[in-house]
Amino acid sequence: MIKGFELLKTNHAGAMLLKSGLTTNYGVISVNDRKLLYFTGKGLREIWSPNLTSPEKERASSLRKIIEAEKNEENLKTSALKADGYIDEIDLDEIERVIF
Amino acid sequence: MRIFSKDEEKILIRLDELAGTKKQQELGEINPVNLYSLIQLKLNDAGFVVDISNNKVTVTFEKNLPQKSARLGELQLIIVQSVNLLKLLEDKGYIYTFKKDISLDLIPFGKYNFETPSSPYTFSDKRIVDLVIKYSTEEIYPTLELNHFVKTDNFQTRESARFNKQYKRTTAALSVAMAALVVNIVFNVYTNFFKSLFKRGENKGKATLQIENKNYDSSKNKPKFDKPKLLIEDSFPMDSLTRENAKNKKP
Repeated sequence: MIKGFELLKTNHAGAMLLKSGLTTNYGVISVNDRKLLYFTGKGLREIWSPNLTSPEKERASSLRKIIEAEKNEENLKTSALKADGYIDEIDLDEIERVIF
Repeated sequence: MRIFSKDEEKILIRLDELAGTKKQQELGEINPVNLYSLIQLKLNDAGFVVDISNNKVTVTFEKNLPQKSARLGELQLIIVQSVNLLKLLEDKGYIYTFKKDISLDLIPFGKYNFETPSSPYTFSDKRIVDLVIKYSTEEIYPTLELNHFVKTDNFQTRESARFNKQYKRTTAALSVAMAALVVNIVFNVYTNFFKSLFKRGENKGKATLQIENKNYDSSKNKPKFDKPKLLIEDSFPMDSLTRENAKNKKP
């Protein structure tokens, strides 16, 4: 059982420590028994951050439109957002601990 | 240490619980705690962003959240209380902190995808912002002293608990002494009262006896000493002349 696993709920953002020793931000999109689909730090910063400048807001708005269009999680996994590093998917086994 | 509010006591209890059981703590298996795990129960509808590079702490809500200002006040309070409490506990040695190599310059926590986000509230107090950033990037390890403080001494320091114990014992001892004194006074008053009452009764008896004796003597109309002359003659050795003179003087 991963320490802090109960924090991994849809729409919750936080930070987790991976078994590789890396600490990363996450914003949960979905979680199941084996995998976690989440917004990365980049995604949270550029799409969801409340402190965006006007040009950043425009970009964030266009990215949100992509998210809205890809209603299906499976589509999100294969979307350009994942390729650009806004979204990532990870095996739960790779998580050492959910810090918060 | 100072007196804690009920909210602060809840934070302290949560801090101790998150660290693990007493047994775990005694064995050194302390779970590291962080600021967010302390306040997460209060953050269910809010998003919290700590921007380390720009020294900024912001809180965001849904724009149409009812009683938003009250909720904001509540959140401000919990954050301010938590960081100040952690600072106090750290200064007093109840917790120690460890700066992890967290390579994050932006730490979002709580809800992140608002449909219509409110304009973010930014903390303006630099001291609070510094404390939030400090405890956001550090792991907190509660000590057994905190466990003792929360569980055994009921939020009192050891010195304070010892003083209170001593105070209670002294008060109890004084109460016993006072009770003994009161009992002693009552006993003495009671005893003296009855003693004097008894004495008075005895004297009254004696006086009655004396009066009775007097009455008895006078009723007989007899002088106690009926022959004084003889008594004198018998009692004192006199020469003949003196005896003669005495006879001549007799009427």
